[in-house]
Amino acid sequence: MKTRDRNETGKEKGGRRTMRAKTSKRKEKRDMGTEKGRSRAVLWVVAVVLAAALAVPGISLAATPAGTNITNQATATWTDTNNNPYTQLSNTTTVTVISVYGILLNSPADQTGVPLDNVSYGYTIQNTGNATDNYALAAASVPGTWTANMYVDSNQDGIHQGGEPAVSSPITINAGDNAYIVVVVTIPAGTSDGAFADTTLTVTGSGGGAEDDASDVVRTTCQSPVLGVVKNVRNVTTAGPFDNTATAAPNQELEYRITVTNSGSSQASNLVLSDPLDVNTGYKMASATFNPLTSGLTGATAAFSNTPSPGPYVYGYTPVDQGCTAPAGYDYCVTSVRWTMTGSQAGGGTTFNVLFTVLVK
Amino acid sequence: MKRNRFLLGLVVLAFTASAALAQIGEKPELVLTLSVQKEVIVMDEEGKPKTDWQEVKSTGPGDVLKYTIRYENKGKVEARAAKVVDPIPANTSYISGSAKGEGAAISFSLDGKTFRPPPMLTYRVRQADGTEVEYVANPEMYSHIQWQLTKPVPPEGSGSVSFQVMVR
Repeated sequence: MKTRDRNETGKEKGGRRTMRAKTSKRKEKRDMGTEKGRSRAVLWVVAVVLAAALAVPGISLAATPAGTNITNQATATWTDTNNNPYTQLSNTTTVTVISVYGILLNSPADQTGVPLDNVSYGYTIQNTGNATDNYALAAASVPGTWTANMYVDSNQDGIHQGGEPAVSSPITINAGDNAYIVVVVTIPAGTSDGAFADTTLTVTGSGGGAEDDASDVVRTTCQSPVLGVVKNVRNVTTAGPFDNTATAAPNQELEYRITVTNSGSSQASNLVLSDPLDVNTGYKMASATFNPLTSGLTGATAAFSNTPSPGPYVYGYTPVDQGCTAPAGYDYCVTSVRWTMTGSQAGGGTTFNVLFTVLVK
Repeated sequence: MKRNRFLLGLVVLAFTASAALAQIGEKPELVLTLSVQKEVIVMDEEGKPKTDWQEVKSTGPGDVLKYTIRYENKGKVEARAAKVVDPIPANTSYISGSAKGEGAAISFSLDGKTFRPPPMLTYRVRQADGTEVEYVANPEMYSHIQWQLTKPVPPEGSGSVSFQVMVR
C-alpha cells in the first residue's frame, strides 16, 4: 500500500513538472486566475459522472471470444552520455483466452388471469460466456393441469402472438447474444378463484457446469368472478318487508327482488338473469326494473316469454295489458322474465338487483 | 623514413580502431524481460485463502493479469533518460492504480503518443451543437503506460515495473 501511495504521488508531481515545463502558454492560462480553476472543478464533476456512465457499457461489453490471443511487448528507449538514442523491444508474451460459460435469465413478474386465459411470460436468455453454447429449455407447471408451452418471441414483446413458433430445444446462442422466448401458461377451465400454479422455466447450458444453468419460477393466480344470487319477496298490498317468505291472498301483489353479488376477484361480463313466474301469479305491466347499485353495470334489458311452464322459455314476447284474460294492469300470458345486462360487474363484493311484481291469481 | 611513416600510420589506425571498439563496448544496453502472471486464490498453510500470482498461458474474461517488465543494463556505461512503454493489450482494461515502478514517473496515454498523469489525461467530445467538451479519461480508456526512470541506470543496474489489467 505504501509503495502504491508513493508511486501515485510521484506520478502526479512528475506530471505537473512536465506540464509546467511544456509551454508558457499553459502557464498563462493558469495565471488567468480563478476562472480556469473553476472550470477545472467543473471538469472533475463531469469526469465523475462520465466514469459512472462508462462503467455500465464497460460491463455489458461482450466477453473476449474464446481462442483470442492476448499478446504484449514492451519497448525501452534511452540515451548514452552523448545523447545517442537507443531502442529495445522486450520479448512477447501470449496468453490465450479459454472458453468460459455463463447465462443470465430474467425474472418476469407474476401474473393473474381468468380460466382459459393464456398468460404470457417473456424471458430473455443471455449467453454471458465467450463461446457459442447450446441451452436445453424446459417449462412445467405445478399442478400440471396448467399447461406451460414455450414459444419463440419473434418480436421480443414478451407476449405470445399467433405465428410465433414453438421453441425447439435446445437453442443455440452466440457469445454475448440474447434469445427471447415466451412461456405461455393456460389456466384450466373451471379453475376456482384464487387457485394458482407455479411454473418453472429451466435452462441448462451444455458447455459449462452450474454457472451455465438457470431457472425461474412464476406464479399464475386465477381470478374468477364468483356470483351469489339471493331472491326475496314481499307483500306489496300489505306493505310487508322483503324476506325469504311472504304470505299473500288472491288479488294481492307480491314484489320479487333478486340481488346478485360478485364476491370473486375478477369482473363478470355477459350477465343474463332469468326468473320464471309461478303459474298462480300474473305479471304486472312495466314492473320489471333494474338497479345497478355498486356493480358497475351500465344497463339491462328485460325480455319476456309466453312459453308455457316449465319451458324451455323462448323470449321475445311483448306484454299486453289484460293479456290472457288478466285484469287491467296485468298480463297473465307472461311466463318468465329475463334481464340481459350490459357492461361488467366488478369483483370484490359489488351488487345489483332486479325487481318485478306479480298479482296472486 | 617511409617505413616509419607506415608504422606511425599503423599505430594511428590501431588507436582509432581500438577507440571505436571501446565506443561500441561502452554503450548502454537495456535488456527488457516481459512476464505475465495471473491472480489466483490459493490456500496458505493454515488453510486460509490468499492471493498469489502464477505464470499463465491461458486466461478467461474477468481474470486479472499482472505484467512485469524487468530491465537490466548489460552495457558498460549508464543508460540515461530511460523510458519503458507498454501498450495495454487488446481485449484487456487497465486496472486503475495498479501501475508500479520504483524511481519512475508513471504516465498514461490514449494514443501511444501523448503521455500524461491521470488527472491531466483528457479527451474532447464534439457535441451536437458543434462545441467540444473536455472529459478526463477513464482508466479503462488508457492505451499505453510509460515509466520514465528518474535516475540513470548504471551498468549491471536493474529494476522492474508492473501493471495489472482485467481481461474483458
